[in-house]
Amino acid sequence: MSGPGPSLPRRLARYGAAALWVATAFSVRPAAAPPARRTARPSKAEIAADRRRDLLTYGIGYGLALALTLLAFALVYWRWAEPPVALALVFGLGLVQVLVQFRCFLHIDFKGQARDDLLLILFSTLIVLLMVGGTLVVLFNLRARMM
Amino acid sequence: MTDPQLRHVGLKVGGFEAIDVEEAETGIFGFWVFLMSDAILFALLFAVYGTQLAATAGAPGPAAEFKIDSAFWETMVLLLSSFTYGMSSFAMKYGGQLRWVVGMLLVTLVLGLTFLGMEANDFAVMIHDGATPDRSGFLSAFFALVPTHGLHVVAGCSWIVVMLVQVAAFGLDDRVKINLLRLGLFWHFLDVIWIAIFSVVYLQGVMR
Repeated sequence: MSGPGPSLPRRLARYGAAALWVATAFSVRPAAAPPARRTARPSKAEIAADRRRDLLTYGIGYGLALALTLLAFALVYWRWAEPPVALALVFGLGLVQVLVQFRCFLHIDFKGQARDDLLLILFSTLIVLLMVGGTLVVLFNLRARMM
Repeated sequence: MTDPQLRHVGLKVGGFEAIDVEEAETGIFGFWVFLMSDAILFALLFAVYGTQLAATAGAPGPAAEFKIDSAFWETMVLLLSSFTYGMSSFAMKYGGQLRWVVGMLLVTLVLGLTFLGMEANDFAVMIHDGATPDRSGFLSAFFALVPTHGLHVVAGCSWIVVMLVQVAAFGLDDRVKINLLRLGLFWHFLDVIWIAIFSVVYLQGVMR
């Protein structure tokens, strides 16, 4: 551990952290000061930075949603994959797009200000999975037995 | 609660004067509760649709009835409307230039109505082909799921009109701002539901 550079795991961790930071960069508030009590109005620079970031969020959200839709459409329209694979891909792309829209348009993230909303959404997702999953299992089982 | 801003709103609209922040937060959170109950409604309609997919009973099936081009353009229109609504919220947050807020709302309304027109045309063609809800389990499930989303879009469009009237009557005061935020959640949520319909109903349907 006395080499000239940092150890490999540490370097990997650093790269990982950097990648994570890039991935969430558009959600990071670039203000240098900690989010302490804001007594005065935010400065012009802060507003400008927020403004740019919000616009970027909408732009990225729209671009990603568009790309994911086009990809799913192309998969089916030009038959790029066999039906079972294509179906799985279409559902996967749809799911990713739902996440993108929740993040960029509905502004749900893991950063505090919407924690209650996030918990509500996660709980609803659990309920949905249980009810939809249960319905599908029971009824497909019934169909298989009756056919 | 150190930051005197709306915490439930991603587009944190600061500078509320007449309403205290907690009241605004509660209002937005309550609307999320409604949205999630609506999501459960849609999820179960999707589940029913999934179970009825093969139950065509000799009536026209998905591959014969779905027009993928039309569904694709409807998706594009609704997605763009989601973005234009976002631009309206954006304009409201920064400076609140009435011209932009109202202009983008109007564009969103036109796109919403375009979507509804295209969808109504799709249904009319299906019914003309004899694909009516009473023909099969599949068609019943289809007409339970997709028009429910259409009705939501009708409600959304009416709500946009109501908000335009409110903006005209009151200007962008605190209550109008909060209402616009709620409408925004509703509108973006409808686009999310449509993505599921496009994937599960239309893309899966023409694949078969």
